Amino acid sequence: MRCSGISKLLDKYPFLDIQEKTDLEIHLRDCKDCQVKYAQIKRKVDLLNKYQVTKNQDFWSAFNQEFWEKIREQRAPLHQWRLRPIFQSLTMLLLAGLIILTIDYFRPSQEPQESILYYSYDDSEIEESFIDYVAMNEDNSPLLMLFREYLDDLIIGEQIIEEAIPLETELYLIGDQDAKILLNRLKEYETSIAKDSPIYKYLYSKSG
Amino acid sequence: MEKSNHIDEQTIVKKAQEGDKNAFNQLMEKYQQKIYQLAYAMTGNEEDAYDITQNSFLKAYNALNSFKMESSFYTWIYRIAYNTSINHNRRRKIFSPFSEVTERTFSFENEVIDSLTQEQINKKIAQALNRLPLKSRTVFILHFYENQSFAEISKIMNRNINTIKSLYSYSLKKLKKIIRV
Repeated sequence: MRCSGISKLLDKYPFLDIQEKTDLEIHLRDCKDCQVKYAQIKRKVDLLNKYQVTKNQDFWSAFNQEFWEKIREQRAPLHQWRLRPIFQSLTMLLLAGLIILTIDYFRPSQEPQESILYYSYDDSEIEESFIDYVAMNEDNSPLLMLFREYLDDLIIGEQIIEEAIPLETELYLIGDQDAKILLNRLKEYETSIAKDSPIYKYLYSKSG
Repeated sequence: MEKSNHIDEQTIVKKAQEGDKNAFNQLMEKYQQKIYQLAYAMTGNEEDAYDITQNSFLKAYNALNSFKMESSFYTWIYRIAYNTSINHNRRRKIFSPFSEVTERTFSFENEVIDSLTQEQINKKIAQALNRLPLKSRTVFILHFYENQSFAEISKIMNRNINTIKSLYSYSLKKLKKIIRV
């Protein structure tokens, strides 16, 4: 094999099949230039092989403990709070406030009522919920494939193209039925989707 | 042997889906080290790697019932970790626009590698890996360090297998150019 062929093998090193390894060995016996190149590549690969992140048992015990604490926090039932007197008082205060606000809300007013505004979330949060949704669903329907492609295109090399492909453009391609399915599934998965976000509005209008 | 392992894992996943916390712990213990290693290589930062690993398992736990076992749990959790890392990187870019690394090469020439601690070596290699584009980096880590087949990586990253092979070949060549020993 010529030096040009060996150069291609060195690009692939260390993942060579038996024949390629033999060709390399035979060539290196007589070619000083390739011996130098091989030694350099091998040093680099050996260095890369030194990478090894291992954490001890204590690290993972603390990790697991924190994990389950977060799960408990997420799912803490309300009755646990009610047991504590200070929270009882606060609950009473909140209830009183709520009653006053409710009475005030139904009081006839001369001015036209403003429409209720939904709580607004950051758009990046919405996109992240999409990313999670797409990541965690094994369904390979054209719809999800489309989203995966979209998310993929957000990252071009090291550059993040934030505005390059507006999500609405991709959403435009979604059929009405798919929009309905996606909206329902998103509601199930992520209850905090901003109802005033373009994504939600679009899916809502598409699904009727 | 591998098939029976897969069936065993399916049983554990089913138990976890039924609310068995020990079963989920088993899954977590099996994969947390690997996910952490992936996240560390993706970010080059221990704190970020920790957060990504935590968030990946939290997402998996919360969405466990949507996992239909059409792929392996391994593929699924890796896909979640991969996407969590993407989210993390996006956020980092948004809030730290000047954190970009501009050097083209990463030199070990002035270092006596044998005198470095494992932690220092890891950090340097992670920094070198960070010179690669995100997708190529992921492919490289999964194949080079995790010994994942191209077919498996194509499932994790949801890309064509030939694209994965090209990305790998590109990343290996690029790394050899980037690192100067």
